[in-house]
Amino acid sequence: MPVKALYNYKFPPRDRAEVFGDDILVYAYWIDNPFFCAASTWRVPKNMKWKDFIGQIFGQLYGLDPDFKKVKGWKWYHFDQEFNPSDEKTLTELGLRHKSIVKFKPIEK
Amino acid sequence: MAKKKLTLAQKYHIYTRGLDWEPTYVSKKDIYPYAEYEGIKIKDWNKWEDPFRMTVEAYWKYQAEKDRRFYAILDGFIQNQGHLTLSDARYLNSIKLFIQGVTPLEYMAHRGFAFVARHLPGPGPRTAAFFQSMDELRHTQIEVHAASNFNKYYDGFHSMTHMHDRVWYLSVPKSYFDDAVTAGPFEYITAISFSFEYALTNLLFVPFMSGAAYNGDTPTMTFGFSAQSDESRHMTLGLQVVKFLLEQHEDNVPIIQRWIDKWWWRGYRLTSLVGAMMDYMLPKRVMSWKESFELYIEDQILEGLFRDLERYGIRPPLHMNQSIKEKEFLSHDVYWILFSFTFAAAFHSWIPKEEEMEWLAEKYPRTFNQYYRWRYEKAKEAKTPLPGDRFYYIGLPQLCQVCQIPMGFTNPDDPNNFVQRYVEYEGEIYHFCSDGCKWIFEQEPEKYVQAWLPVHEIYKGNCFAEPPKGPDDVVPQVLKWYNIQTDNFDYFVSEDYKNWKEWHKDMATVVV
Repeated sequence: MPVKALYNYKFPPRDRAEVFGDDILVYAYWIDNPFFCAASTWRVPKNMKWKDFIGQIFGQLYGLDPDFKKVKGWKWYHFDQEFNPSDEKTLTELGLRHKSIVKFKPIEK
Repeated sequence: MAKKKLTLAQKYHIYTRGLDWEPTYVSKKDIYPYAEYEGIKIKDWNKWEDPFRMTVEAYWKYQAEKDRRFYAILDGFIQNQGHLTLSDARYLNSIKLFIQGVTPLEYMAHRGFAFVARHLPGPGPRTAAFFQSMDELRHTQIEVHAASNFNKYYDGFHSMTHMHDRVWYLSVPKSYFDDAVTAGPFEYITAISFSFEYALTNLLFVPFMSGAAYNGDTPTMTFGFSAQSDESRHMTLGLQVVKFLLEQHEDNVPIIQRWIDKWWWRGYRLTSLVGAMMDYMLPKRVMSWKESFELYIEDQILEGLFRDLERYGIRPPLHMNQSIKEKEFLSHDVYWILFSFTFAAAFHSWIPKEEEMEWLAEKYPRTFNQYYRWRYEKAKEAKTPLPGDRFYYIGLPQLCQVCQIPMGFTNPDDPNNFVQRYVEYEGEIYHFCSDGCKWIFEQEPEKYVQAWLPVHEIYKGNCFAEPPKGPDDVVPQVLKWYNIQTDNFDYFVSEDYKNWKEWHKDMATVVV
């Protein structure tokens, strides 16, 4: 349903991909852990390596949780699709795009 | 035979309609360009029944009398150093939220009603909107005067309008009202007069004013009394507007229903900030968010108002059931968000004291101990390099594209996770905190794709006082741009707390 207006009401999205150039926004969310009050937002280069990306989000934010160091490994999701990112691949190679959300939870036992 | 005397209602009718005239050399369409494009059909403006009878002369007299009372009480409070007899300086954090978040909205309401008072073709509702426009300007002014005294002694009061336009959590109220004033006059008046003033005002106003009374804040309480008679006029206007529009044409019904659906959810999300204030920020508590929601929304609005509107073909707001399901989670979620980001806020937060946790557990027996208490225990261990012996969320959150609140609303069916929704629209992805916000986006995507989301703006480099010299300088430059000075961090490392202790060291008052 379009906006009702007196004139042609069409404006470019404020945060569209091209505004961020070679970077994208990626959201990150630790499943089942509401200690972090919401998913986080990161501006990162599209061709950042996966290991650098998780190094950044774990190093700055998620490592603050005292339970973080007990985690042996992580299960990953892109939106709600399970995926197995390899460390050396870039975010683009892994299929991430502007405003993707990656979710993760500790591997059981 | 003597002429029959006019009734008061007839007199008022003539008086207000007498201000109107039929244009002869300009078309009505040119005078009222916004009257038709929203699709609302009015057959007869004369069917408008004045919800109150106020004349300009009576208005000045009455308001001047109320002002005299208010300023006398304010002066007394100031001269007697009344701020020292507040229950606790922590209380003022709810007033900081009010002055930064709500007072600028009163000013926007003044502008919105001035617009409606100019652009509705009916003289009756134009007059009513004109009075409300003046009320809102007065409220802005009185609230600023009430808070200016606190500004002499406490942080967080010094830069309300500047902050309102910039600070992340204030984009929540700001975007709410910007959404309303960029709508047409009929949507605006339905949004603000009906959905806000009629359906939600009690939820906002009563807790604030009783909270003030309980915690020794006489100026805010007196403002509340002074505004009360205005508020009751605003409420009757809201109800009359909606009934009039529904009675005028059956085509109006689905339009009004859609606005009620939208503005219920917009307003409800906005008042979640009040929930956090009620349950966490008042040292002396009035009632819980849940109790207040049950009384004002479930009993009065759902059982009263919406039963009454059934005969017009109006049903309760689309996402009302979600609001009911959330009532034991909402205030906890929002305070946890505010707590997590206090390093970038112009108010303080703190870990609730043990007796406060007990109160929360008693009021929320199914949720507080189960899902929230442990976070504060953990927050004591999860320290950061920032001031205050506790956790801060060192990063930026994901925001909802519509309400702009960090996406931290618990899914009641899966209480260890938050609701997350997204849509793809014209090749771009948008994220939402709820089905309600997602639905609102889908109604008018062209509007919300333009949202000024504080987190994305920071990442675009639009929120720095000066370019950051390195990663550690990012937050300081944002705070400088916000004009946040010593207003942030935990209460127990704040200037407010230090001063409060100092001022009370020779007094018998118990200081926490």
